[in-house]
Amino acid sequence: MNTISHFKKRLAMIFIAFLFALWLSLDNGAATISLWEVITDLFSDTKKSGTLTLLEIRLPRVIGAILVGAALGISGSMIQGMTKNPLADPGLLGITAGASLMLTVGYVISASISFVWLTFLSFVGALGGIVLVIGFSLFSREKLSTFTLLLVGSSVTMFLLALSQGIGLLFNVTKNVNMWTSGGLSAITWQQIALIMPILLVALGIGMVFSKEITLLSLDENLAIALGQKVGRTKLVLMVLIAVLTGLAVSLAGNMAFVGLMIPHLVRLLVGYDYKRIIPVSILVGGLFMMIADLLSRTLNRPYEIPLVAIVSIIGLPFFLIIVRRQKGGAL
Amino acid sequence: MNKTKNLYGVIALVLVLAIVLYLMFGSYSISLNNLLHVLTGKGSMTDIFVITKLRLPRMLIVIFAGAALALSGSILQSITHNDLADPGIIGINAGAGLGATVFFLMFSHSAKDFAFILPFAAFMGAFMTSLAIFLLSRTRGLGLDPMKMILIGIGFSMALSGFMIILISSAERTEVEFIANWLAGNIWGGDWPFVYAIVPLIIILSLILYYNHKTLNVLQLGKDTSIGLGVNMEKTHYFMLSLATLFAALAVSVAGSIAFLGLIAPHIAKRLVGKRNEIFLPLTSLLGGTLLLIADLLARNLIEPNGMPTGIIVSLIGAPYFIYLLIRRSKVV
Repeated sequence: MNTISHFKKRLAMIFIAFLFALWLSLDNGAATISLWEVITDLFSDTKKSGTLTLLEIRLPRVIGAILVGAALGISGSMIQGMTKNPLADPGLLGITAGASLMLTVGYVISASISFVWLTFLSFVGALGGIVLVIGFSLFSREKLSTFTLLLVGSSVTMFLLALSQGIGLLFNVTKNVNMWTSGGLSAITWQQIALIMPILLVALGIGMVFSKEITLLSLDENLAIALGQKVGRTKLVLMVLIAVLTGLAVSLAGNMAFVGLMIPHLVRLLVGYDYKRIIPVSILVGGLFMMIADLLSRTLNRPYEIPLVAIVSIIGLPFFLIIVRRQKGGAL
Repeated sequence: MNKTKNLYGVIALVLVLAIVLYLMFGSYSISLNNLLHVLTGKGSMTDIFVITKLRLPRMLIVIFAGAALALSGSILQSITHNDLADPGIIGINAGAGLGATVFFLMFSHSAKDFAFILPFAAFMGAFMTSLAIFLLSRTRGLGLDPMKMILIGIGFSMALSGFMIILISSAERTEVEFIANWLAGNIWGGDWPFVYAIVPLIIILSLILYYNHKTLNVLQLGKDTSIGLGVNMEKTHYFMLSLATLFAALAVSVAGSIAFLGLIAPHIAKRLVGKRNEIFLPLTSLLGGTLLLIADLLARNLIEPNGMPTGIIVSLIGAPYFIYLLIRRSKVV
């Protein structure tokens, strides 16, 4: 078996699909804009309104979708590799729960809280959630097994969620919080993208540096130790990466738990178990998926939008069913 | 063995204490003296009414629902060998939630029988969802793969919550509050007809499960060992999963969507007495019932006037204790 060329073929196919989805996403929306006209228009002095719509509203939104999908895809594959648990998703580390707690608090403080503040609060909450989880695991008497870490994570998640639900019910802000966490990319601006892009690239770089370590961890932790890997350090680095990536995604698009769970399964099915391949391909596949989801949420019921998270989970399900049913034996 | 007996004694004592407090306190308080009067049949009319018509049925529902969720969780954890499994994960809560929401939004809730049909709608939602998950996780000739089943269950619960979001975002604000309350785990079916319908079923299912505790012991040893010891994997999986589903669907239909209890009660029991099911199963159900009762006691009394959904309190008191157990002695179980 010539796996290298096989891999290249797969990669090329994913890439073509990616470009195709990009073209579709830019062309379609509340207003249909022909991409060709825009490209010719770019070189003329007087810009048409379609061009402006595309440049100022649609392009940042599409890039935002790609970034969110990529961030969730990478952090999902990292956490599944690190914990060797195909059920793990970034939401289990208290990230989305922390974000929604902070959002609830924000809405309680002021019902007309600004968009920038909400983004900031949910990022802080996301980081806070995972810091709690890491903190608990560092303060335990013995070193935590990865599995116990997941259990601590899901307990913290449930605790924070319960707090935010409770506060939401007491202060009557449940609907506001739901509206936010059900997500959407409609208000993304170039500034936000300029902020996120470098962070994502740095995280990606670090992820690639550690790809060999993750591959080993995902195979056998003892083997990794025997081969001289500092497992504790690797895990800590990975957790920070996961926190930052997911925190960004959640603060931009709301709670997209499904993406972080599903993309890694899809990617492993496509390119196998080497994280040197999984991480970059996760970007493509995650981005592709979110682009399509966002496109559907904009166009299915235009000019209105369907909540993005609903689209993500509903089109995610058949996908996920196919992947799971195709896997043989161990799911990871 | 002696230690185990003491443990049972302590938990039983806590349960009795919780029962007494549960019967005494609420929006109408009854003193211990008057409670004794009621029990001996000499109480005042109001006290007798509050105890027998309101608190006793709700208390029974809460205890048995808690026990059922705990047992459902422990079955799922045993057969999937995955400590993260709980009834919520196999889509039961989401299914029940969707059933209840659709019913709530589509049909007039001023109807007289609304209170009685809602649990039924929730049960049907849960049941249909788990049936779909069952059918989809079957592979021809190989039977059921529990790991696949859990993954598919997660997929389903996420997709269903997607539907819920569409439903909720199109609903009125007051209706959202009701649904949010229900989803957060609000005890709904606290009335005698529900007790008659649910409690005997849960008792029968528990006896069936206890009768099969040896099978569970063997299953915990892993697939190959189980087959080697003569277990018919396919049949056993179907059997155990049906039990787990029934337990959870029954509980959720009357107690709302109580997450997390099915995850932590078995873990706490495992940390206390280990994995031998003949000791572990009764303790798990006892713990589940006690935890939910305490949570409901607090939920009804801490926050005036409407109380807080019990599921929220379960998480608020359960999570810290569970984390404490996890980091105090992080032996992998």
